[in-house]
Amino acid sequence: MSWKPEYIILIVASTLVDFGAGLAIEKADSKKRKKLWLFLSLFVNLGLLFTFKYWDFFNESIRDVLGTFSIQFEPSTLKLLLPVGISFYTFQTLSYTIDIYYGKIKPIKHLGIFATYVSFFPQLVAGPIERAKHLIPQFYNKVVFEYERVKNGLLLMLWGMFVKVVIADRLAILVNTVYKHDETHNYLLDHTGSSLFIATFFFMFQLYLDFSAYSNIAIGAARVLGFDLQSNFRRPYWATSIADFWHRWHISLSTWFRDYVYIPLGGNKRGIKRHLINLLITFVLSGVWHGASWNFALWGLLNGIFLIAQVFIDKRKKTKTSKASFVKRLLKSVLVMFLWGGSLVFFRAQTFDDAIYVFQNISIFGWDNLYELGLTASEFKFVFYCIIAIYILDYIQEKKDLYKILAGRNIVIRFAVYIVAILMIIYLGAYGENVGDNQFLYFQF
Amino acid sequence: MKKMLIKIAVIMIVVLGTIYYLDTSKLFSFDEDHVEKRWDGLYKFSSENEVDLLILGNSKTYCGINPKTMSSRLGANTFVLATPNGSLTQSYYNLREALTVCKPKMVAIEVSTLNSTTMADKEGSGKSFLYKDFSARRNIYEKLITTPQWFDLEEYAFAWSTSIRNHNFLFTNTEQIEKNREKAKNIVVNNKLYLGRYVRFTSGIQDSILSKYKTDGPSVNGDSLTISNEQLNSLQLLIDLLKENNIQPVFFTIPVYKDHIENYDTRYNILTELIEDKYGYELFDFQQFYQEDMLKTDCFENTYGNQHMTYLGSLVVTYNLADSIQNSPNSIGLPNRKGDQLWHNIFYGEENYFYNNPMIKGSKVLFVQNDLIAPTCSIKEIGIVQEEKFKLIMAKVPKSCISESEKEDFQVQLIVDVKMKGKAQRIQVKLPYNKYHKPGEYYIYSMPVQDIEFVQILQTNIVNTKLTAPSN
Repeated sequence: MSWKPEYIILIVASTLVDFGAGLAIEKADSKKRKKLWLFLSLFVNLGLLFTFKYWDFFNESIRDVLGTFSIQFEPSTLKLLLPVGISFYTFQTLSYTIDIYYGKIKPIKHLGIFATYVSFFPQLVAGPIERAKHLIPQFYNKVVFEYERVKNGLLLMLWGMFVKVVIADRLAILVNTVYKHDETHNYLLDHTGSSLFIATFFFMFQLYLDFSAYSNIAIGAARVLGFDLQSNFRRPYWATSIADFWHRWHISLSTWFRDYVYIPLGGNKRGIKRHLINLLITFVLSGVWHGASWNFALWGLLNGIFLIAQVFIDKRKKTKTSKASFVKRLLKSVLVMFLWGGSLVFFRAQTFDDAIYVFQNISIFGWDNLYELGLTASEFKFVFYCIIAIYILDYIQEKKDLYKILAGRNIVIRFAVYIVAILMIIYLGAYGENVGDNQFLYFQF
Repeated sequence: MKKMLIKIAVIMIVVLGTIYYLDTSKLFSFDEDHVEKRWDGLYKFSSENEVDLLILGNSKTYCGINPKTMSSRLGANTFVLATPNGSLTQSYYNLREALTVCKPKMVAIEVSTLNSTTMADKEGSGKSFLYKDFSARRNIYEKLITTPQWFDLEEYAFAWSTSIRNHNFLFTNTEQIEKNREKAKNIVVNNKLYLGRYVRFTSGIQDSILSKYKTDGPSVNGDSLTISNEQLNSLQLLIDLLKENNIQPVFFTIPVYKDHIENYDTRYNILTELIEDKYGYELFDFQQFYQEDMLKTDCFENTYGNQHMTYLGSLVVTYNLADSIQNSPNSIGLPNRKGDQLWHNIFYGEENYFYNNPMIKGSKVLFVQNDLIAPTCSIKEIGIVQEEKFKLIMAKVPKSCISESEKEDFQVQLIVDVKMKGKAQRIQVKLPYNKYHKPGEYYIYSMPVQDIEFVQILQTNIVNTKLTAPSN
């Protein structure tokens, strides 16, 4: 994530164009004119996103392709800093004009409210990507202080902070040690077998905990202010299939791609071939949304392929089982994590070659000293137990509302939990001297 | 809303109380924090005595100035309030706090603290030392004033709380926590006064570093030494503060080995323009006026990079600074407390005391004989002084006996009846010239010994070894 004051022009431009386009689409008297305004909105928003995020990648890819045919092409790269939150607010504003075009919502006449919708601070930088239909009406509501709502928001923020600082950032230390690849040295190549496996396993949890922590803080902050944001995660590592997983992971983005890419492409209504192609297109685009590199595209493609495989498996099933046993469910969730974790190698590795190296070497038997990967023995054990605790808590949360369980306890227990959580953030958090600067992972998108 | 605020307040009180408890219990502190000892020393010293000369600077200063030797030479109470990696900005804010507990007559400022860095530049060990310096200070108001000047907002918690700053000990240094816990159980009160001295280096530059100077050249170029605006502003603030408090400033430079730096003239010119021309104060620059005959390789740390003085080097510089202060025509004159009991209690017999003061038999002086007649001259005192780790045989020869240029050629030779390991013997003792003492009225000839007891000096002689040495 990066910030230049002049980049504020981008969000202002995006806001003004979509505000104007929304009004113009509604006023347009013909379908053709409506389409024209929609295209203007798409062109400006995606144009900005393309320029700032994909221009260099696009040109370098062309150079590489032409290079294979011995054609020399020296692209003009812009080397621009990626503006804060551009992927998120671009999608948020796009959904507004597209929804107006399809008649799902009416445009709003108040520029200030629309600007607040685009730049609503709790979720501006890394989502959840909100829909106009859900968020804009809330700006018209009178906000009054509600004890339960504010408390709930604060607790969500506290939980998010705890998960981020105590667990995710400590996992990051090991992951970054193993996957490190800088100009001077590719440290990844120094690792094999167990190191690669544990780093990938830790990254799977780091990504979940880091991003869900941010989402919880964003949702909690909005709740304190009196706004309700849609939830972004629903215990994804207890998903029993890849399709189930994508209903639980980064929900606001998944549903965005479902509503504005997959369904407009025809979804599953135009025959099996088209259905599968639509899945692949949607997931590759979702991958590329995350970052301008072939690794992200491959990550998306791999998840698309998993889903296609699932389509075939589901088709073979004659009947649906009534209720899976705990063991069966656990095994299924482990299988999903295995597939998902494998795909994340592309997500985390810095180059395609690095990802291939991981796949080639992860199964090589070798028992590296896991306590020499950036974490001390006690840190390693601590963080490992934390992962297990989170996994168990997620399972309990599937069945019961943990917030309600806590709220039902007496004040001494509740206060003890709050105080211990705060002190754990302070004293067990991975921050300070000799610990790197740990931004939220999704800030880079 | 009120209900929630009360609950949040209760939670915060418990959390802050826990942090306060952990900070004061020192569970997360480092061992032997000399920065903390220095501040504790200043507070203790100031509560019992007056500080006459306060010396500000960085690690070069506390390695390069010996406050005990300085005090024994001047007779004035000296305290070194220097901090590792310290800058002048740091010195200014430290002085503010120091002035709340003492009112020195003179403040000496070492000018390598006037450099290109800013507080925002500090990182790594420099930042760690800054935190330690801040933590060791006690005046809450001054710390509040200092906080925004030294730290960024996200560093405030680290600055104010040792336990938060070192919280990673819980995973990375549990042995230290355990040690601190044990220490807290068995508190040992150390009444020894700490005067800000930190003896770190005892052996000098070795051949490997000397050859590196030859092959790679000096490690510092005076042309590239600049002073940041932040430091210049701090210098102005510091001078204003000293004026307000009617304190005389003195500026000085701790030297580095002659081959360690090149183009020092450039740096010297900048410093003189600033300190002498702009502000009208004296600069005692021991780099520009490098004493080749005294500052040999054994005076400097054996390093090619950031160089400090050894114990011997610090004696040379301490005497130079003491004499420069004393002999300066602009000096306001520091009090001579040699007759005060309080001064005597602190400095009597301490490092190099008897070089500068008469030996009187007692717990520190194991043997002394005065006015011994040698063939060419009368030796003022010959004695044995009990130092911390050895005994020192010392002879004081009046300067009138030997010419300045020949003093190192001479030896004091004695025939003495002694007891060594309980056995009576008659031996000859040869005392070479002590070049780490800057002569006052006497030249010092001395030699460290481990186990010896003088019974009687039978014969005394002052011999020019150059003249008596056999020629080839």
